[in-house]
Amino acid sequence: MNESSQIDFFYDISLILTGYNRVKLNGTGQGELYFSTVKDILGKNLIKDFLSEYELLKSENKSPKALNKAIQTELFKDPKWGPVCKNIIKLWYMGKWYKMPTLWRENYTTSTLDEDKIITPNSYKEGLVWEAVGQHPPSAKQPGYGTWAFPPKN
Amino acid sequence: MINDDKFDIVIVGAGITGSIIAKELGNQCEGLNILILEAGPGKSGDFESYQKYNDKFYQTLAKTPNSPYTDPPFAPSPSVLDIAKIEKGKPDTNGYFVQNGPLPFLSNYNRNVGGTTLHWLGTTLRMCPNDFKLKSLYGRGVDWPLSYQQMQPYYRRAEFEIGVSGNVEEQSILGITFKKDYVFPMHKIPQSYLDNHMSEGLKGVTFSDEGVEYPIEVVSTPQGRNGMPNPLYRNEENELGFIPVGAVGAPDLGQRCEGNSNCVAICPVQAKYNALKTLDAAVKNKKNKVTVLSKSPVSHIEIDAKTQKVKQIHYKTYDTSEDGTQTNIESHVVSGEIVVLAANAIENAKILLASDACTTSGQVGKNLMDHLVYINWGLFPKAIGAFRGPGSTSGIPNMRDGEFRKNRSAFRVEIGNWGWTWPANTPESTMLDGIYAEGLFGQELIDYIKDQTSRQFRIGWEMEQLPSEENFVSIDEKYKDALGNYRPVINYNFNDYEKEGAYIASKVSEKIYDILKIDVRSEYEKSSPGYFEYIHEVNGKKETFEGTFAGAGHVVGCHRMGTTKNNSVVDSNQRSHDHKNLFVAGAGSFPTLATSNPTLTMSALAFRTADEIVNEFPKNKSKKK
Repeated sequence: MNESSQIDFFYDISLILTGYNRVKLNGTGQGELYFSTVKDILGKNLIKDFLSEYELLKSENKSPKALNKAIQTELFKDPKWGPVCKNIIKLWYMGKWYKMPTLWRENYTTSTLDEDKIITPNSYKEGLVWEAVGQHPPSAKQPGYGTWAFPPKN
Repeated sequence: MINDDKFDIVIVGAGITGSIIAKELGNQCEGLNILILEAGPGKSGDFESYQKYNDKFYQTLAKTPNSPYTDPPFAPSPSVLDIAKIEKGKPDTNGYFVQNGPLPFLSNYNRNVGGTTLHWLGTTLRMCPNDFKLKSLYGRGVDWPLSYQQMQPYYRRAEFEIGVSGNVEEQSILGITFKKDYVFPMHKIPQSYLDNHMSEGLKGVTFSDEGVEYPIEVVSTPQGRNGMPNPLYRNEENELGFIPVGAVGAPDLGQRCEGNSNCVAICPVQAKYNALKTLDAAVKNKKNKVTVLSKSPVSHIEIDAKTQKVKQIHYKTYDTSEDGTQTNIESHVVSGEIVVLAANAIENAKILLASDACTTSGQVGKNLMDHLVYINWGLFPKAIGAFRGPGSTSGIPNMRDGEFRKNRSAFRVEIGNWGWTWPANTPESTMLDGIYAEGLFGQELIDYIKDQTSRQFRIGWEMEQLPSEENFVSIDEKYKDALGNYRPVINYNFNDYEKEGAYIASKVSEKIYDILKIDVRSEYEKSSPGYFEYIHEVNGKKETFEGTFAGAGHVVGCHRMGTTKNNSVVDSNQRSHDHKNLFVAGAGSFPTLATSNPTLTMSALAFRTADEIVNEFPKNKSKKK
């Protein structure tokens, strides 16, 4: 994988981790910002290793179901890559970078950027957790007068 | 900067009380020179600075009520993040408040131009008539020196100024009456799907207490939030109908509530009323001169030993350089024929104590009160559409009054529309549970969040806290802010009257959960600042009831009104008994807390006070009203 194709792999694994399709992820307008956030905090080598791990799993597991399973055991539950996976989900869901766990920091990063922060005001508004809830983010994307009286969509 | 140092009226505090008084004086008078001193930063007239509050909200990590606003060390605001359990004998000095305990005061307020209305929920209930007579009817607390009948015209004026949406028929309960043919300025805000679902499920259900059956009826709550104007509305003074007031500096915004679901901490479009609207109108009325000075906290007032009138007001200004490295601080003195303290109950008390003013009654700083909210929460069996609409659109009001007030707190009940946001910080915590506790990602995580959050239900039972000697504000040389002004030192506790109220509330709650098949999920942790255990007798057997109280943000008491200079700080016009040119105004004047959220009553009192002040300036009275 060359450096310019890394972002595609980032989107690719984000699809699986978040459960949202590319259209949704693109629609947030936040992907590039999130990718650079992860890259800046993890550093060039770690991000490359992480995405390469994913690339390998993808080539070994042709069916989506098998790939899902492989990501769960090899990445999501892995002590090194698990916290990264979880932070990528949280980034898309909350527009927020959560400081990595202490043990992980001790082993893998010295980045001063690794602090709790909401990336930008728009990241908050584009948080996919609201999509999962089925509602709008408080203070943004308002649904209109009286809509709260309607039956909830299921 | 100002050139004058003599004013007709000096108002301390640019919140709802100060703004209403300034605007009303402007409406009724000509040629007055009015100064408003506000401790915090902020502007009244442009939307740009409000937009900065919006952006700050989006990007702030802990989205507390005060999080969108500025909080300089020279006029700090209390924060809910500073509320913690207090170790015995060790005051908690971490926040702006110095909390002596035994329990921490659980609420905050906002020190910016616009005051706490910047983050209020918008509930505008009137007090019920019996709220004014707690002592004579139930032997508790004290009576107000005012009756509901006397308050009625002021309530109507406050409902116009705030712009209340409500339904008169539905509010005509608990002895609350309205003038013939009265309607609210706007039709009621639609009740949420949840409200209607509960209303249907609870039809005909009652709760029996001390031999009386109380209907558990879901009723819409009147709100200071723009809805659909009622064409039948006529303002009493000018015979005009009601036109909603949009955002200050961007009047096309906020003409109607858009369902931003964020009344607390900030309505992004100002569809919910805030005092900036009233203040802006006061400043723009050119019949009088109204000057607003922000970043100008008052340290004390000076009393003339001979006349016992307020001679001067001492305040400081602070101006911080853009890079934040340097602050220019200056001391100033002004005088006013009339002086109005309208800086919030605790802040008013602080200024009076620092000034050694209003000392006769010994009541300054005493009887601090707040609605103690017993919150519980659970999961409905099916989706009820949580996380939509204004924070609350309905309540269960029928237990706001009854003979039981001899023995325990009355409460109003607020049905929440935002899931477990308040008690459990959902949906963020739901997402974290899904990822960490359940080990989910992808579609399974989405499904989990959807299932959990769409069924979330939260209800708040707001106890009327009695005035109590144990709950008071004082000052101490040891504790000052960055300008050298006093920080409030607070002694605070709950008593059994309120805990017994919460116990009864828990019984009503059980019944509701049972009938509506809501799965209880409330947890009360011993480590919470508002945790309590209450041992009481039930059918001759000792029983322990545990719960947690949260603050309601209703900062009330500290300069009670009353009939004489010996029993109270101010009279029913909020004029100081001791100093004839001084008014001490706001929710601090309430002798008891009552069972309604305080803002509407506080606003009504501001109109009454404005009328009284107008009489001091007969030459300035406008010919046509």
